[in-house]
Parts: sequence; C-alpha cells; structure tokens
Amino acid sequence: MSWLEVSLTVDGESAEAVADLFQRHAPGGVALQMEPDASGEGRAERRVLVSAYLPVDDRLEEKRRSIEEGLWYLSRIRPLPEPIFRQVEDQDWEEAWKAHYKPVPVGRKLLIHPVWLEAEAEAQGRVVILMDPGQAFGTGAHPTTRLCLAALEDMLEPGMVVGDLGCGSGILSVAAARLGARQVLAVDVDPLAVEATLRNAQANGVAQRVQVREGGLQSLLALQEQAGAEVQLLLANILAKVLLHLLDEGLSRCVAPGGRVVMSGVLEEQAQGVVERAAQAGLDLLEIRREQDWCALAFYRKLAP
Amino acid sequence: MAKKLKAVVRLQIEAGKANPAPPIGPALAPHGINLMAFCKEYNARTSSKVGEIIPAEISIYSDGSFTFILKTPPTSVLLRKAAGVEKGSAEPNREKVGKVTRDQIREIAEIKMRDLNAVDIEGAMRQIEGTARNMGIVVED
Repeated sequence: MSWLEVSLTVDGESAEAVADLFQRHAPGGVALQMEPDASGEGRAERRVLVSAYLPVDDRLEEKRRSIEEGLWYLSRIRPLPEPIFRQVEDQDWEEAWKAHYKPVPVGRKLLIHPVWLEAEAEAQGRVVILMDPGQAFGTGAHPTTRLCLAALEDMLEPGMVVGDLGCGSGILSVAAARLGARQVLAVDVDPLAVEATLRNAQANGVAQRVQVREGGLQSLLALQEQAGAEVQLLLANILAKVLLHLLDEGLSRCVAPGGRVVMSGVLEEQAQGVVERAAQAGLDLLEIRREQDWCALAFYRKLAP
Repeated sequence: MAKKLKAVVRLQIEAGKANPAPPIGPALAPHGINLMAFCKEYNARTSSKVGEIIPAEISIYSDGSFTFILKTPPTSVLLRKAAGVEKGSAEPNREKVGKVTRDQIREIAEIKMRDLNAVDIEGAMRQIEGTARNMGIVVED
C-alpha cells in the first residue's frame, strides 16, 4: 500500500485547525512536529509541521479536494502556505526504523540480533537469537520482552514443553527452543504474528520444534492435544487487560498442574489486579520481576486437590 | 545537565490502536525511535479509552532516548461529540452545523484545563468558545 503525504508548516495558532481538518480525512491520525527552542529545553511553537497520510485508493482525489477546499477556507481567517503533497511507499519508514536496531544482550545468556545484520558469531559467549520483527511486537528492546526472556532463562529446564500465548514476533518461542525446550507451542490472534514467528523460527533453525497456530486459548489447547504433550511452562507477554480476560476464559487450563506461567506486559499499578484474578484461577504467585514501570509475574499452577 | 531536546512530535491518534503505519512510522522512524516500543506503551496506557483520539506528545533527545506524555483529546473532537455532529462547518461564518450549551463548554474546559494556557476556568471556556465558533458550532446560554 502506498500513501499520499500532505504536510504544511504553520504557526502554533493555526496548527490545531489544520490538524483537525486533516484528522477528518486521514484514518490513521495526524502528526505535528515542533522544533526545540534555542535553549534545547522547551519547544518552540512558532513553526509546527502538520502532516497526515491518505491511503492511495479510489477516494484519494475526493479527499485531496476536500482538504484543499478546507485549507482555502482556513486561509481566509489566517494566511496559510500551500500544502505539499508527496507519495510515500510503506517500506520507506520501516527500513528507516531498522537502521536503529542493534544487537541487544538480554538476561545472562541471550543476544538478540537483527537478522539483516552480519551475525557477530556467538558474540560475548551468548546464545544468538536472530530476529526479524516485521510488524509484530518483540524486538527484545522493550522491558516486557526482556523481563519475560530473563524469567524464561531461569525457569526453563532442558526438554520442557513451552507454550507461548500471543507470540508476536516469536522471540520468546525461538529463545525457548534455543535454550533447550523439547517443543514450543505458540499461538497469536494476529496472522502477521504467526507468519513472523514461523519466519524467525526458520531463521534460527528451530522450526521443527516450534509449532505455530493462529488463535487464542482454544488453539493452544488444540495444539497440545495434537502434539500429545502438556505445556509445563507457559509464557504470556500481552497486556494486563487481555491477561485478565484470558484468566476468566481459563488460561490456567493451558498449563499442566504443577507447571509454571509467566505473565508480562503488566504495568506496576496493574500487578495486584492480575495476581488476585490469577489466585482465583488456581495460580500461586512465585515472584515478581520489575523493570522501569513494567513487571513480569511468575505463577505456579497448583496440583489438583 | 539536562538532556538536550532534539524534536517534539505530537501524534493525534486513536487510543489503543497505534501501529507502525503512517502517520506514526514516518513521524518517529527518522528519529530512531523504537516504533514497536512506542506503540505497545501507547496502547497499554490508552487501552481503556478505545474509540477516542488521545494525543501523545513525544520528546526526543539528542542521545536517542525519548519520553512521552498523553494529552487530552483535541478541543474540536470534544466539541463535535458534545454537539453530536460528525464534522465542523466548512464555512463557519455562514453555515452552522450544531449547538452546545454553556454547561457543555464548561465541561470541556474542565477536561482541557491542564493542557491550556488559561489562568482560570473562565479563560479556558473563552478559548473553547472560540474554537466552537471557528467550527460553526453555536454556543447557547
């Protein structure tokens, strides 16, 4: 998909009106960029670059005309410069972001390495995980992913069966397989994530031990049945709101009694709520790991009475 | 010494739905911002407000680090909601598209207060009324 970028540099006073006009026609929203003031501490509002992106489709001309018309009316109240239109391809900014992606050491043993860079052969004595994050989450740079990886390192015993609920880029699944899991069962509701996980499992040579399926809890249960194996360590790096919902839906059934669950993507202030709901679902809190405002919670699923 | 500010980007985007597509990608990628990290953080902090436009203001520093704060929804969005209209008027001086009461103006002023440079609630209300006029929304007593 490509986009038509429309942008305009205005003063602070006109910025909101122009942004509002753009917002009506640009589904993704509007960006306003301000330069810092001379001191480098505050921001200057004299010049604001307002930009928005229109998808190139059969309604493009109509939207472009409405924007030009709207700007013309606004310019009668306050003079405005002419808007600049420019066609932008999707890849441009994705590549631009990649240029800033560097190898990241995580935990005691892992090195997350962008797949498009020449591998620094088993650098620093660490296990290298090659990652191509694409559009899915999990680049190893976010605290929630780092917390989950560190917990995985400590809890994984060789030969275990690991579940990955909401696998995203597949970073946790790949790391589990590289650290010695016998089998990894991964699911995600996003088909892009399923693709990314498969791609990353292949890039790391662990595709045979990582099974991926689109879906949620039901898919994970189905995968276990198909594999004839029970998950002993379940990883769920999602968000607190989703975790609470999944706990109600029977998340604890996805791990064998006596097994462990690591939940990440939880903000400090949300932790208590998740711990309480998990207790109701038969999960006992083992430990909490913290980084910045985020925490990862590790639980033990009680044996059946 | 305080870190030097390189740029400030304000994104007016829908709560809980940030992704690397435009406008977020083109606005943040050139600054070397971890797009996924930003989107995840934004979505986590706005997950209870899905459907609303919640602007994020991102301060990018010369060392490549960034911080961001959430702002209140744009005045125009709140006014459209209060008036129950889909969009503002193209010709605000001639064509009126809807009306709001003074109480609604006060409510919006209270929400926006922390982001406005108004001294008191009356000052904030005058700013909101100004925006309403520019959108062709009539304020009733």
